[in-house]
Amino acid sequence: MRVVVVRSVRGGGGSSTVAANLAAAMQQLGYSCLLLDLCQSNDLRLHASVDPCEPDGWARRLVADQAWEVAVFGAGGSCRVIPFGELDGDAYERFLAFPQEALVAFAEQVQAGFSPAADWLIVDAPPLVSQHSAAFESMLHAFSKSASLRLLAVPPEAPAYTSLRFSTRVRNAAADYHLLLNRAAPEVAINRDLSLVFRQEFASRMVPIRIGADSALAEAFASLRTVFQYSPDSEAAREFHALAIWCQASLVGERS
Amino acid sequence: MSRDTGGSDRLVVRRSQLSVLRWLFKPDIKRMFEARYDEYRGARGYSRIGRLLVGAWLYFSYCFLKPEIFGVPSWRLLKVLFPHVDLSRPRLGDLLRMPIQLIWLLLFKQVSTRDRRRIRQFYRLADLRSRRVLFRLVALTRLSIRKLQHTFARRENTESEGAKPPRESWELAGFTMSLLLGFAGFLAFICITVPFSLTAQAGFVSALIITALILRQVPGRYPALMLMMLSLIVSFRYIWWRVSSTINFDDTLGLILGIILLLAEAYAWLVLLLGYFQTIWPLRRSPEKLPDNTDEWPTIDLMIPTYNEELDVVRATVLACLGLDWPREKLRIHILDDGKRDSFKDFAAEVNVNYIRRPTNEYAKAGNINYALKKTSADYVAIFDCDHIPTRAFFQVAMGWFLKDPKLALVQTPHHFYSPDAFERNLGNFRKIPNEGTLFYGLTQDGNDLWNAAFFCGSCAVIRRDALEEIGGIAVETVTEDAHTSLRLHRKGYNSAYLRAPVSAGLATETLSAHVGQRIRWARGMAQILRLDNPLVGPGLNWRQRLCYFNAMLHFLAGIPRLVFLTAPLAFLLLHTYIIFAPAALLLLYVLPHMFLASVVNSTTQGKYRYSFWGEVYEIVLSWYVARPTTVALFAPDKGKFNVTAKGGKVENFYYDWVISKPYIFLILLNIAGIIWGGVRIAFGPEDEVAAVLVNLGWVLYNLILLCAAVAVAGEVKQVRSAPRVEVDMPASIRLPNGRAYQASLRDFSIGGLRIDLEDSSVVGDYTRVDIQLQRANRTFSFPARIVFSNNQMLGLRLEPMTRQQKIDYVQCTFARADLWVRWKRDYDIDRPGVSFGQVVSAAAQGLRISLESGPRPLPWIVRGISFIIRSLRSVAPVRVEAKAL
Repeated sequence: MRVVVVRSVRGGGGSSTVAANLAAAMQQLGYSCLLLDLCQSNDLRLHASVDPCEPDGWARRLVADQAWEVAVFGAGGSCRVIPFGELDGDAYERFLAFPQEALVAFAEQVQAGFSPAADWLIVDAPPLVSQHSAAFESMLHAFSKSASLRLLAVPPEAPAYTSLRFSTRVRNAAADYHLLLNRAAPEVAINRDLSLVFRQEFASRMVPIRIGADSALAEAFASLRTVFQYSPDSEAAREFHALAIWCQASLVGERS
Repeated sequence: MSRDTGGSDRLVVRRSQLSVLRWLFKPDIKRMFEARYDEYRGARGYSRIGRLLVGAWLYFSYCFLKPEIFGVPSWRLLKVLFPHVDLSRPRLGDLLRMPIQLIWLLLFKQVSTRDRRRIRQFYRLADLRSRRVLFRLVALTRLSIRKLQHTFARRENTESEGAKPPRESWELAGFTMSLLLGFAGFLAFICITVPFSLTAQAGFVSALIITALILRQVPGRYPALMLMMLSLIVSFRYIWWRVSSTINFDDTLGLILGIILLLAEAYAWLVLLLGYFQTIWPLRRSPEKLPDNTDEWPTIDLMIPTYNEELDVVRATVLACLGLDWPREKLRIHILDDGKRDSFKDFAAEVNVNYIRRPTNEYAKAGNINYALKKTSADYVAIFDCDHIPTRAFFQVAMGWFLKDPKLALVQTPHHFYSPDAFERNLGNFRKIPNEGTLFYGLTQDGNDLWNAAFFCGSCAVIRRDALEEIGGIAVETVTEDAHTSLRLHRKGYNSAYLRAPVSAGLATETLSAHVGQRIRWARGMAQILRLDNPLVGPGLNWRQRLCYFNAMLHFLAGIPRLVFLTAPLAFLLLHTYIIFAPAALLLLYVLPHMFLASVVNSTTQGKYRYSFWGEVYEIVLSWYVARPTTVALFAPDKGKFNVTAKGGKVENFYYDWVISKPYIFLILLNIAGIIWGGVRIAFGPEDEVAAVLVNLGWVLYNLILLCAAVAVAGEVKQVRSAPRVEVDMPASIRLPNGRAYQASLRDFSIGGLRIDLEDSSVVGDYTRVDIQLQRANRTFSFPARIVFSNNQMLGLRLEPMTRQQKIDYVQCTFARADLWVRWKRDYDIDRPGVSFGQVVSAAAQGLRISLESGPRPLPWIVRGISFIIRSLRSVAPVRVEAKAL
């Protein structure tokens, strides 16, 4: 199983959109995927047609001291999703205080795989700028250490650029991530220019595919589906298809 | 709006047509019937009887047939079995068509592959088999050649070890080599001069032809060289024989005509010989790398001379030049406007390029450039005709060699045309058959380059300024200033280079008359150079360069010899003189191998650049028109003026260019008279002449085919757009105002608009204003556009007003893509002479039909009658059915 970690610089960078649609594209290529949501916002599941009222998730199960394997949802086809789960105030407190070993153990369990085995594990991780407990950080580290591909979804907009350029903490955290331009809008001058700036400054780490601004993505999310189900002839579908092929091609030769 | 009402209208009609179904069936059954009924609808809709017929059939098949027969849904069976019958609007002829088809279906097994494909497969298989049989032989030949090369190389090495000064390559081999050459020459001399009996000649030529056919199967250049040798032997032998034993001294008229024919043949033979020399080893020069440090890159003046072209044509070129990959401060773009138009001046100011206007107009383009040379100062001068759009890599490709070779004065790149020329448009073979220029830019210039004789073609070239100034600027004495300029550069000891990469693209001449006008100018100019500055004499050139230039000029003198060939057989058929004084069988044994081997060689060496027989068609079209100007220019070289080639126009309606085709119609009539008279002579003439008449009839027939094909070009096909479109297949995307973006593929583009394919164009809805996004070098650019038409899969877009940078980006994303034209060149297959002859014949048939249709009164009626009969017969003929089980 190959692991892809998708993050964004700041909140709203589109990491869960990228993760969910990348999984859908992988599925189109004939792979089985496992989606894992590590964000408390818990919205990866919505891309994967899980009922919005469904509170279940791995964090919720762990806090309740139950087996997290129960919280795996089928997401159509060979794709499965593990939501974060809804945590109310009390449960959230307990989650924050959760011991490091238990979280790392969870990470290892997920990566060790379970049946039926998945070809790809796509992890939607929280934004770089957000603060986490040390335990959570070490779990993130466990995932990103074993990931064969780390993608950073960056909208070509000024906030993402300033964080990435001028915040030392973010820059260090992003050091081993590939940058994926998301929501690129060539008809907007500032967007186009910043795309060029990103390409210039992070030339060696840019993913050669960009995801354009396409309201099909937002509409697909609103209708609880991926863009491949919602509008297969949209430009975004083609871009995610290309992204999936790129991911696969850039890992050729590495052991899975 | 209008589309919507149309749709609802159709809905209403359908409802009324099928209202009876509502009472008979459940809604989903009714819907099913409606769908099936719709599928049977022909292009012109239902007639009353069609409605009844189809309805009855659908009901019958629904009630009585099993759901699937022969692997197709049974209700569709009639459509599948009788594809050529429109059931929704049956005609009387269908009563004949259907039984015939039925009988055919009963008697013959239907195979899903088409006949033509099977023939092609058979051809391929046979080709493969023959190759396999030949392989051992071929492998042995190659092995021995390789061994020979090795021993040769070893000997060379041992010789050069003695620290000898480097000598000319043909002197290298020394004594043994000259001995060998002498021996080979002696053998060749015997082969050429010894007279043979009929049987000996037959044996000799068949041995040569078989060797040639075997050699043809071997890829590579050495076999091609050997083929050339064989062809040379046969051709020499032919000419020797013609001179020594076929001149008719008994008859004055025959003697005169015979000598004229012999001279024409000698000309053709010389051109063939020089052509072999020119293309013996095309250099295939590759671009030289530029230094990494851009400070070392030289400065360039890019000149775009224009006289009467439209601003739109020039605009694309200038915008593409602005996007060239070269340091901005080192590239100065100048529009050299000889037309003195303020619109051009304004445009130049708008896009921030230099505008040069000269007070006078003398010496046309050459004078225009020479004036600009005085006003500019960069190290190099690049010249682009105003319709030649450079791709952005142009200078990166072209400039490297200048830095490597300080004596290099000229780099020429091919003129690639993205619009069809008169031949391609009127014959409808654009991008299927290599056009006229492909041979020159694909092979001839490359061959010239080996001998350091690649010459300047007026555009898409870079010249070193100090060299150009040394010879006094562009030559102004002749109307082909380009070739003359490079001739002068070569005389001064400068080198030239030719790079084969298509790094720019331009407009081809639109109409046949413009094409002919342009070629008349070239022919006249070349003849002028031959007189004023003969490359065979004068200082500075080596003999190889002399021959290359001489051949280039000789090529344009082809008019009169070609006319001689077209009329020569008539001398025998109509005038009854023997201009070739030889028995028919012997003549055939001499002339056919000569022609056959020449065309085998040409098909082998030129296969990708010119298909067999097409060269003759191209030449015939021009022959009449270049005959007079070249002759005049040879005798009075200072006459003649520069005429500008009109481009970017449009042909409003189909018309037949009678003026251009008049001489050829006359020749066709002559040939037809010859055929008729020949037939009469076979029927009533003396017995011993029949063979000669048959040979001449064959010749006349061949001429007639070529003439008819030439005449087909005169039927000018309608062209509606003035801005020609470039057909491509590139990914693009379209973005709607609602924020949705859809995948699309770009079908074609022009400077003002584009056409894209969409999976389903109904997604566009009521929007008219969209953004089209194109990619280049991994960057995406967005251009505002307005939808001007749409059908269910395609959108036609017109670009909205854009900023200067957007315009540059648009040209960069379309015309100036570095890889765009390279792909075009690869599309051509290798020549197959049989197929090529078939194409010429079909063009000839087209030509015959067109000229008869636009001829005087009774002719069009006859043609229409005949084609009606053929069409109706063909419509009755059975059609192959694509069904698995049949």
